[in-house]
Amino acid sequence: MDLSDLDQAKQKLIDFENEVAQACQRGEVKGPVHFAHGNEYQLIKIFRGIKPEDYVVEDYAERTYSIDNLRKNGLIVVSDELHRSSLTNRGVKPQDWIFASYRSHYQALLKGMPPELLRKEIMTGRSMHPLSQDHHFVTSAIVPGHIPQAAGFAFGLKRKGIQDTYVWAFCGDMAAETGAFLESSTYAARHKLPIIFVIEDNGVSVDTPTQKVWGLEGHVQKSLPGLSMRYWYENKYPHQGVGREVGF
Amino acid sequence: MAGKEVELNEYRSEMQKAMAMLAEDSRTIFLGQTVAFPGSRFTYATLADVPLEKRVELPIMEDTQMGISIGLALAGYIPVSIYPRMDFLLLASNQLVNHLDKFEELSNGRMHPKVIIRTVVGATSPIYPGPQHCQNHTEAFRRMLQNVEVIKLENPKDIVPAYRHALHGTDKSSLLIDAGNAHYK
Repeated sequence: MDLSDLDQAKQKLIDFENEVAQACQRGEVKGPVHFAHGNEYQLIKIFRGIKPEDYVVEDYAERTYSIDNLRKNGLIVVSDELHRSSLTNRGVKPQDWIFASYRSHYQALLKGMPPELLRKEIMTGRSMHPLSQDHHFVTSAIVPGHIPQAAGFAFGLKRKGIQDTYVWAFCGDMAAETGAFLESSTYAARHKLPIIFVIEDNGVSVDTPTQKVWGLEGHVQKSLPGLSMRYWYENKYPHQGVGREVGF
Repeated sequence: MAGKEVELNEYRSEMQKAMAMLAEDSRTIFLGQTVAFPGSRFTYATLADVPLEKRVELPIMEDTQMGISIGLALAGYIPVSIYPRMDFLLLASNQLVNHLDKFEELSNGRMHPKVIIRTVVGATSPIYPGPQHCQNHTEAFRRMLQNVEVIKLENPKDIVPAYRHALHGTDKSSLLIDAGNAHYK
């Protein structure tokens, strides 16, 4: 997918989601689907490589912005370590690996998975699991199951001495509060593993307000670990499906 | 090499041979607790012939350890993931049961991470270690795991063949369980 034109890339993602949503409405999709409409711009920028105008460093963000402002401005908050690295504008490269959650259509498309292949996976009930060796793509439908695996993969890359290949570990806001995330990200940061964590914060886990239940209401989450970034978005769709109740 | 100070009975001797056999394979990497530092009579001593550069001592983070093992396997290694007691392995059940065991189905047959897991049913003699250090959940794991082979190692003669099978004889991951009491016979 050509990421040089943000609006065009965004529209391609939305068109794909809309097509899948319509199939869901018609009852044609044989499994749960988690849409991410609203999570396009920052993701595209991250895959393309973020520019100075796209982000703020976490300490500066804490002092200057409310989450509403960050969300409104579409800004990405990056860790100090990431800011000081030469990686902010690197973007995701073909040799990189993606570890993502059950809500991963956008990441799959942006990583280069052909839409027709992803569509086939979704239609056969595998929306949560479009794992692909060819496209270096791993997911889990258990929060945050893929995060320790991502750290392990990065450990393997480092141990093998493989250069210029990174693991990108995407997860939601609640996943980023879990013990496994904290263990994995701490271990990765202290051992300088080639992994970049991306927290896609839509404020909820299913419908549970993450910040409220963790006693963080009104505050920007601080202390991003190692190489990491965080941004906020609002999902047009409910946690699962398109609004019509489907039991699973 | 460390760990030679412990006198080996046949069970331990066979376990040490099995670990050495695994270590000869360039793909293996040993990770867990008391792997590179002393502390467990069950595990550390039997790794005496495993080069230190193949051992990775991890913090206590059992489920994350299993996830890291899966990630290493996806990166081309065959991790030998060690849990000094089966009681502790329960904490890794998410990555073991929900992920490693299901990876074939999750990936639609496209990914085959192979992990060799070693754990121990703690010995009940010469001292009773309490209810959190000697539980035997072998049958429970057999019931939960459809794709990970579960092998309880009671007889010393079975140890090397079982690990050889885990390394070369199957594409599946394996859970191999020491009989702690046998370490003391």
